[in-house]
Parts: sequence; structure tokens; C-alpha cells
Amino acid sequence: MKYHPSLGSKAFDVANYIILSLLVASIAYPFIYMFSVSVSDAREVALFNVKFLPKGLQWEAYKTVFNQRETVRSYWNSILYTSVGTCLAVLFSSFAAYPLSRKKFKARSIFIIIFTITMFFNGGIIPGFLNIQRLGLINTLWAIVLPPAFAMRNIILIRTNFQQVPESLIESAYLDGANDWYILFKIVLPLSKAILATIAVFASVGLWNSYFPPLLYLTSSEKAPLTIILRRILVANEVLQSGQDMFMDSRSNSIAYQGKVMSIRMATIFVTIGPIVLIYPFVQKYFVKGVMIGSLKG
Amino acid sequence: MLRKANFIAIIFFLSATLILSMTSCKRSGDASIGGDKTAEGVPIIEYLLPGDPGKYMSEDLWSIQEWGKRTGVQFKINSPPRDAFQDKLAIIISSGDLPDMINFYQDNSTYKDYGPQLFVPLNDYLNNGQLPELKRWLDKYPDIELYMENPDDNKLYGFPFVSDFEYISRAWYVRNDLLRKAGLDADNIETLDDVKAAMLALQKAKGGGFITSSRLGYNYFAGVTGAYFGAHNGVMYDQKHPNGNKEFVYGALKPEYKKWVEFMRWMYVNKLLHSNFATMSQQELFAGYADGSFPLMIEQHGLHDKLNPEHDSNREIKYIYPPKIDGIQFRQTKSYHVNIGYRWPVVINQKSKHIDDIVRAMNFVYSDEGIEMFSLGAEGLTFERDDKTPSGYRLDYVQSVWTRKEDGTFPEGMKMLEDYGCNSWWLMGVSNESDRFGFKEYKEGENEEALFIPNIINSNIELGLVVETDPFINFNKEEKDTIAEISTPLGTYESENVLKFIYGQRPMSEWDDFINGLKKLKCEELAKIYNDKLK
Amino acid sequence: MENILKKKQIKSKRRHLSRTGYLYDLKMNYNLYLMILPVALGFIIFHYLPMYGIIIAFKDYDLIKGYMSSPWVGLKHFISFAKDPYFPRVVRNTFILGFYSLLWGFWPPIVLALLLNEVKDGYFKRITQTISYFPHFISVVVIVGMMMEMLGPKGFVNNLLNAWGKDSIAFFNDAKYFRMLYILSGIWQGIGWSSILYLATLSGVDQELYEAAYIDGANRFQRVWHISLPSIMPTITILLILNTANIIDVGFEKVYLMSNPSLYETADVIQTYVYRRGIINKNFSYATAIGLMNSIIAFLLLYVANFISRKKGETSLW
Repeated sequence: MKYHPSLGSKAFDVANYIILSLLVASIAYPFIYMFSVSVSDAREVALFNVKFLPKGLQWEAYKTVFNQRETVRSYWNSILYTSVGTCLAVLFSSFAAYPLSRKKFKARSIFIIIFTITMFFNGGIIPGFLNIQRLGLINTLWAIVLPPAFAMRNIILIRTNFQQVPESLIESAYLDGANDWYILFKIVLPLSKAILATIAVFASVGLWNSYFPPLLYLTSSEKAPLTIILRRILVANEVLQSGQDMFMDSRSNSIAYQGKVMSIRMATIFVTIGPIVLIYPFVQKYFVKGVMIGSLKG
Repeated sequence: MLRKANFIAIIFFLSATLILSMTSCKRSGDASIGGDKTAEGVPIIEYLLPGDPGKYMSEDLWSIQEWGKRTGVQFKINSPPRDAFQDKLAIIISSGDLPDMINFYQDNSTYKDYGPQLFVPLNDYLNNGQLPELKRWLDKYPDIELYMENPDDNKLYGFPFVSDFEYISRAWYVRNDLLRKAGLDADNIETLDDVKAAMLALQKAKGGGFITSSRLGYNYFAGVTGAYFGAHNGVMYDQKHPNGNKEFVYGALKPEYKKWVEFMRWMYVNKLLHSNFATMSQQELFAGYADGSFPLMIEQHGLHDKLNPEHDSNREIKYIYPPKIDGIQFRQTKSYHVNIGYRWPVVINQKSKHIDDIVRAMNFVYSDEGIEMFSLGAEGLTFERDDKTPSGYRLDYVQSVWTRKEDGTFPEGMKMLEDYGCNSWWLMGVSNESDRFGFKEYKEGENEEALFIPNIINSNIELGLVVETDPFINFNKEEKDTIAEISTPLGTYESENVLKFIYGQRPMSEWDDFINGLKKLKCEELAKIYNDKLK
Repeated sequence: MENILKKKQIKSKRRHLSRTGYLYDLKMNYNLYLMILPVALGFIIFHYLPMYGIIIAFKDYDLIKGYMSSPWVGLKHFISFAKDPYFPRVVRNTFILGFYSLLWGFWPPIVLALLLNEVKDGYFKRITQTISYFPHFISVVVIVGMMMEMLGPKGFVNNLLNAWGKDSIAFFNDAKYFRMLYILSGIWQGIGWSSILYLATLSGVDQELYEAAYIDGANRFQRVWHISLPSIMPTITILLILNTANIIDVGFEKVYLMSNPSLYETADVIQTYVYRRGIINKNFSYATAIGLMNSIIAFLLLYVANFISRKKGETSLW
């Protein structure tokens, strides 16, 4: 069937491109600004002279971030935690989503409510810590990776997609003698690649940026992920500042130092977002429009 | 196919149980409390020690290793990032797994509240001669123990960070070179009207625009600007006015408070005070000082250098004394000689196996030898002695004014004092004048510059503008809860309305309304709670 | 023909069986139970076991006495908060901010996803989509910093205003601008990231549906409205239900960074107010009690939203 775009369709396209380009511009502008701050001369940065493009090129900020011994190791740690955690999250969420998507599963509502409650109520950091401690998981990767693997939000999103798999497909599989495991692995999951990829993205980003759990549960610094190392490098000026920190310090008195701090803060953003941007194109191919397996005819 | 599915299920459960059993085997990390000893029998002391971001603590630091060598112990440092410190502390205390020593971050109550149950009281050690160095500081400054004693048993449960100097915190600095352009001088500012004239002159001299701003939010702004007016947020002890009643009173009820608000309003309306002063970031403020946009600094002592960070000889920085407001100059209170609001105190775990060793190590911290080591390093390693310099030292081997080259950089690979673990208030037990006012930033012959701040403080004292510290009140838990319950809405109301007055969103004619509102919110009851504890 | 009959028979048989109780269901669907078991265990171990911590909302928690021995005080903390003179204002601000954030922030990601979906696969689509979620990764501190610079006295916006002969506006000193700025910055930060989910779902739509609609004479807009949109309706509904619960959950950090006391009239929310109280007097129990109150309200909102959705016959949580 040949597709002849009408005039209205072309106008739609043009308008679409314009809107999207405007959006990109409104996002790109601040990012270019932030990148400029991260590579501009420290003095210019400190005096707020950098408005859009860099003034004076320096890579000190990035060098500082990467020069730390721990940075490379922490990168590896983050990758480890993220990959293990993502696999577990997708696996467990799917295992829960499938039964919850089957209408015949009588205990459905019960489980949903039990799981949903955990989205709102939690006991606080001390019981959380004591719990992990009693399980013997302190200073292991499991403390970081297991709790977020059981997240109702992911389960709900996957379940919603599972529910859109045509009932007839599944019925015919039952007829052929398949059990639920087979249906899950051979029919439903392959059809849900997009949502699984999405959950994988959500889970990975959550784990990649995870800061407080490693802070509380990991005691040896060899296991620290990137977030911790970056925060250590960055002279924290966030939320809770206090004036009592001021004392005579030739280093902090110089403007260059102030500027260096700001550059490092911007650099950490790019260091964090870098791997995500690199990996994401591989995820995007799951979002390409596909055709459903044509098993519905007849 | 069914068999296959069963197979999968079995595999899954096996691996699940495997994981679970593997993990339950692991014990909780390296939290071996009570410490062990090294091969040579040297006690290993676990020390929970936050640092500053960028200057974090570890046992590799020279100063900590040296400390251990000179006192016969070895340290194992656990240094959590500061923003998790409160949480980590709560976890540690509730799980009962305390390390041998703890240094607190932004917490000057836990050591007292849980002292008797968790920490070692130092009084016996002070009396039996195991802490002679600390004792001499406590004898020199009796207000330390007054401040730090547990109210129930009068014992001292934490090591103080001693301030061995006189200090008043608030100061106004100005770019006198700009004043001179208008034919004025900071030395000639006597009354509030002189201040007004000077401010307008500054504005003109820089070609219009704002002349000052603030940082760290409204409360900080109120603190630094109100000092010269005798005005204070919340409850204050009435001794800043020479005829003050010497009792606790709610600051906003005093006439000087209204005067302060009116003056700030005048500044705001005349565009002298930056419109974003209540939310401006520290970096933006400092940038403004540096590039000359803000020639007036209303801040704490010790920041005057920020008005001239590049040491431009054309810029002249001068201090402004508290002006006479209706003939009255308001006084400031001395600071306590102990500084534990932000760092410190250090406590010893009651259950530690190495209490005597820790006491010995901490005694060193208060000795002259220890003070020198922690602030400056060692002879030949970081400094040479030289009594011609204001500090008495020459930092020839680290980044300093002696090693800075013409272009402002330092020799390749030259370390900083901080890299040795020195110059950190987390480790020093005493900060003296030389340390607090940065004498080591000045070379020989620069005594005047070095003594800039101490001279100002001393002249304030001589002029009778300094009074003794406010009486210190210990509140118990119920009282603290009541205070929190009253002062949260009260503080909200006060700050919200004062800002509206300053911005001009509310006319000053409504001031009495505002005062009535404060009284309705129980401001007088709050002051009474404080006064009742005075007796 | 035969197959259809057989299918109908099996379907009715299934339905008949499932009416006979949980135990029968367990026997029939043991695989499903097996499947969900490890997940349920995980929830119990990691989320339910530590839940006892909530009880300190009804106690005066003391770190040393611990959870068991700290004294019970019943509803003291809740009553203390309810009696606070600013309780009504603070709750009102929280709800208004949360509600308008939802109202204005919910649909832009949907629109973005629909628009992006209409773009042909290729570099433009990929790059646009990738860049669109960048703001999600910037910390709130940086965003607020950028906002303040852009809207400051010498910022971009005021420069424009001055060029047009108008007075500068002090955006951060006037309570009436706060909500708008809060919501707009929230949209800017979240639009790309939230659209990912919708895009993923959209990519699973059968292309033949579009072709069929084209043949039937539907124009571009109609195709989007009648095919794309309905295909993500279940996701939209579920997310809407979940986000309704978040109305009470107005984040602390951003409000704190953006506001100063003069904005309290509209900007003081539950979390910022409780934070200020916590500075004066660190009280775990009080904070937990307020948190518990928040959680209960959130859950109630969820329940109501779910109920409404179920009544209307749409997808619902349970």
C-alpha cells in the first residue's frame, strides 16, 4: 500500500519538527552552558563571566575527577551494581507481573495490595539498616542490589503491558498444552521487549545514581560506587550550607578555587550522565516501531 | 514441556537458596569494635571522624600517623561524608556498635544527652593527672566546662575544641578606596546617618547598582546585619543595649529591632541591598565582592580578604565600627572559648578497651607540641622556625605565601598542608590567635596585616563594645519539645513578615499588628521558659 | 469452527473451576504461585521486616532505649502538628502544589511521546529523544541555581523586560510567582524522562492499525488521536493513579532551595516546615509521625483514584 502524505500531514510534520527542535534547544542551551562552566578558566567561572560559550579552555575539572585512584575502581563498582541490580529487578518484576496479569489468578488483589503498601510505608533508615545487618548483608553488593529489585512500581508497569498481550494468544497456547512458565518465557516476554527495556533503563539509572544505600551499607571504600567518590571530590555546597565553616585558608580565599569548585560540580554531571548516554542508543532500538507477530489472523 | 518447566522452577529455587545461604554466611564487615592490637602490641583505635569535603580524613595522612607514633597508638579512621553523618550516627548508636572515638559533625547535644549512658566522663582523668594539658585549658577558660557540663551530674563527657583567643563574630567591612573618591572615610563614620551617607556615596562611586548582599538565607542575613543594631531574631539575652535588662526577651519586641527593619527597608528600597539577598548563593556573593559589585561587606570577621582576593593594591579595605544609633552603640557578646557547634566534641566509647590509650593520645592534642604538629606539620617537613614572621614559622616546603611564584602558581608537585592532614580543625584541639586569624598568611614585616582582625577585636573591647557571653541554658527533652513547638510557627511568622516589611510589601504602619501577632504566637511565653531556667 | 467451540468450552470450564476457592486455585495455578513466591519473599524480607520502625510515630523514640523500650505517647505528635497555627496553610500549599504539578505536568510527556512517535525513525528522532531526558540527571541544586541566574535582576528574562521598557520583576521575592516557577521547572526536568515509558508502549502498536486507518481516510491527527492515544491509555491511567498518590509528596529540596520566608504564603509545604522544626529539635519520632501521616494520605488518594478508575471501567490497580 503506497503511502501518500497529504498536505495536512506534511504540515503536521513541519510543526512537529519545529516544536521538538524548540524543546531540544531549550534543553541544549543550559547543557552547553554547564559544559562551558566545566571547561572554562576557573577565575572566569568564579566571577560568573561565563554566559554560554567557554572562556579559556581547561580540563582540570575532569582531570581532578579522573585522577583519583578510586574513580576507576568506583566506575567498575557502579557498573557491577547496576548490571546485577538491573537483571534482578527485571527478572523479579516480570515474575510478579505475569501472575498479577492473569485474571484467573485468584490471589491477585491480595498480592497487589501487599506490594502496593510497600510503596508508601517504610520503617525508616535505622530498621532498614538493622534488617540488612541481621541478614548479614552489610558491606556486600546484595545490600545495594536486592532491596530495589523488589519495587512495585516496576511490577505495575510491566503488568500493564503484559495485560495488553492478546488473551487469544495465550489461550491458544494453553490449548496446546503449555504451562505458565512456557507462556511467560516464550510468548509474553518476547512480546514485551520495549517495556522490559524501559524498566531496565529505570532500574539502571536508579542504581547508577544510588547514593544513600551505599553510604550506609558499604563500609569498605573499595566497594564505593561512583556517586560516593564524586561527592567526595566535590566540595559540597548543597542544601545545607553553614557559615561556621569559614576560617583562614589561603586556598579557599582564592577566586580560582571557587571557580574550580563550580567547574567540578558541572563536570560530575557529565561524568555521571556519560555512560547513560552511551548505553541508551542500544536501548532505543527496542523502541523502534515493530510489527506484532501476525499470529492473530483467524 | 512440563518437565522443562519444573526443571526451571527447581533450578530457580536452588539458586535462590544458594544466594540466601551465601549471604547469611557473611558477617557484618569490618565493624570489629573495641579494636585489636597490632603485632607489636600497639592498640588500634577506631575513630569515627568526618572530614571536610575535599579534605577527608584517612589513617594514611601524615598527621594521623605521626599522632599515633608520638602517643603509642594506631588509628583506624572511618570517615563518612558529612551529609550522611546524622544518619550514620543514629544507626551506630541504636545498634550499639560504637567505635572507640567519635568526632561529631553539627551536633553539640548528643555528647551531653547520651553522655552518662555511652561515653566516658573525663573528670577523673583530669583530677588524677592523666589529662594535664587539657586541664590547663579548662583552668584558663572556665566557660568551657560551664558550656559543656552535663547538667545532671556536672561531668564532662566530651573533649572540647578550644578557642584560645577573644572573638566577636560580626563585622562590617568596606572598600575605603571607593569612599575616598567621594571624599569620605570609614574612620569618620560615627552615626547611622554617616552610614547612610557612606552607602549612597558607595553607590555613586561604583556607578549605581547594589552595594551589598548576603548569603545562606534569611536567618544568616538577619544575624549579620542585626548585630550592629542590637537586633536579634528569636529569643535574646538583653545585654546588647547598655541599659539592657539582663534577662531573656523576645528580640522582635525591642525598639532596636524595628529600627533595624526600617534601615534594611531603606537599603532595599534605595537599591543598595540586592533584591535576591535572601536567596543569593555564596558563590555569587563572593564573586560580587571580588569584582567590585559589592563594595560593602556585612559578615563575620575573617572574610575581609574576599573584598580583595587578588591583592590589588588599589583596593583599601577598612572596618566600620558599630555606629551610634540615637546615641547608642550596641555591643556584641564575646564568643565562648569552646567551638563545638560545627565540629567536635570528641567522645570516648565507654565500652572501649583502650580508654587509657585514647586519653593519652588526646592529651597530646592539647599540648603545645600537639598544637604545632596538627596545625603546621613538622620542622624540615613543612616548615622552618623563624621568629621574624608574624606566626613564628616559615612554610617553606608546602604551598604558602613563601612558595607562591610570581604568576600565582606553585612549584610542580608541591603539596599543601592539608595533604599532610594538617591545618584541619577536625584534628586540632586548640585554635590560637595565629591559627584563627591566619598569621601564617603573612611574611615577615607584615605584622600589621596579620594582626588586622585581632586589633579590631581588641579595640572593640577597649571601647567597651564587648560584653561577656550570654548565660548558657541546658534544656531537657520536654523543654526542647515545647520550645520547638512554639518557635517553629513563631519563627515562620517573624521571618515571613520581616521580609515583607523589608521588601516594602507591607507598610511599616502595620508594625504594631505584627507585634501583636507575635504575642499571640506566644513569644513572651517562650522568653519566660528561658528566664525560668536562669534561676 | 470446532476450535472456536472448543475454546469457548475451555473458557467456561476455567471460569467454573476458579469459583471453587483458593486452594483449588493453588492446585490449578501452582506455577503462578511458584512464580510469584520468590518475589513475595523478597518483599517480605526487604520491605516488611523493617516496617516495625513506623511505631516510633506513636512513641517518644530514644536512640538508646530503642524501638521496644521507648515510651508510648499515642497521638501526641500528630496532635502537635495539627494544633500548629500554620498546619492549615502548610497542608493547603502542599496539596495545591502537588495538584497543579500533576495537572500541568502530567500530560506534556504524553504529548512529547506522541509527537516523537510521529517522527520517522532516524537520527533526528534518536538525538531529540536522547537530549530530551538530559535534565532528569541534573541535580535540583544546579537547576535552581540556573533558574535564579536566568530570572535574577541581571538575568536573561529581566534584560528582555527592560528592553521592552518594563520594570524588572523580583521573581523570587513574590509569592505569586513561586507556583508557576516550581511547576514549569518540574515540567522541564521531567518531560523527556517521563515520555520514555509512553514511547516504549507506543512502539508496540501494530503498524497495520495505522494503515487500516489511513485507508479509511483518517488524517494524521485523527490517527494519533484514535490509535496512538488509546494504545497507551492503560499506561496513562495507571500512571495517573500512581501519581495522584504523589500529590502529597511535594519534594523538599526544590522548594527549600527556591524559597525564602517571604514566599511562605504559597511555598511553605509540610516537608519544609517540619524540616525547620527539626533544626531546632532533632526528633525522630515527630518526623516519622509526619511521614506516616503523609503516607496514609497518599495511600488514601491512591485508593480513591483507583476506585474511580475501576468504577468507570478503565484499567485499575486492583
